[in-house]
Amino acid sequence: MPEQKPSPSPERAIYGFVLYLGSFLALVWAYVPDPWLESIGLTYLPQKYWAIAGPVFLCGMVAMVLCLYIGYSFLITAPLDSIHTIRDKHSRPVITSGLPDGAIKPIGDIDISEVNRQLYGDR
Amino acid sequence: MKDKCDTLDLCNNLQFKIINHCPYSCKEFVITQKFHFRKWLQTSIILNVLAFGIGLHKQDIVILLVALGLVLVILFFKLRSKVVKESLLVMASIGAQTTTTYALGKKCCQFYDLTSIRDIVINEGITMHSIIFYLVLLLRGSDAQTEPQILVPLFKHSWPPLRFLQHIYRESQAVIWKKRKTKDS
Repeated sequence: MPEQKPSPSPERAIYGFVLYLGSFLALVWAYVPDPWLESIGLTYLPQKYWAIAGPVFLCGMVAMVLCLYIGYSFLITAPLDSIHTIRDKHSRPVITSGLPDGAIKPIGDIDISEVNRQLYGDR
Repeated sequence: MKDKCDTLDLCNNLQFKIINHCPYSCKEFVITQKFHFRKWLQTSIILNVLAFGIGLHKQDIVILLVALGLVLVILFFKLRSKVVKESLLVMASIGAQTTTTYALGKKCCQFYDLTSIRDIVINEGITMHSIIFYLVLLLRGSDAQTEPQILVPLFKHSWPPLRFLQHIYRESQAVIWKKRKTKDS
């Protein structure tokens, strides 16, 4: 997955500006009464019901996304009998041979048997 | 046949025992769930007093019989799945066997051949609300691969604490890899 940075960029500036203008238009539509809008000529606009329902939906979504995110985290946690608690497709073996003299050993995942021997075995 | 038993430790409701069937080559690790009679008696008395207080004995006899039948059925099913004792028997050059004993007397055994066992290790896992240490049997896959393929958690009804697991780890490693303790080590 490409790295995501929180810094500003031209695309994000454009998104921000569009949202800014859109929010102005939404506020205007929400507050101006229907007969005035029809007299201008804008007849095919969403019902004013959505001026309330939309924000309520968004706030409910925020709460629901919080619960769903936690639930999703629990779902993708590997169960206790899965081999993925020890290794998965991203784990690397430890390489000790085939290195030039004085080289720093590359990073690798130590085998769990070795870890146990160090932690819990006889000293 | 003389079994040398070491009652090693007592945790809140678990009793841990190591049985040396044969020194250095056969050991059994038994974890028993203890039944606290006093706590059960106290809870029963309190519930009975409460039931008497709210007038449960004045209800219609049919309702009480139905409730009693329901409670007995639930009790039966709960006892059927209640684990009383779990044991791991490790034998040098043969393998390992796990036995779970249920409250109604049922015993489930599972044997793992030594050729398919790669190691017995202590692994850390994430459950819903905590991180626990648990003993795991690493099994080889079907063909001779260097990496373990199957993970079998042991003592998965009792979940003994880490200090029991450390004892089991050291002793079962000695049995499986046949290390003999010399007098000066």
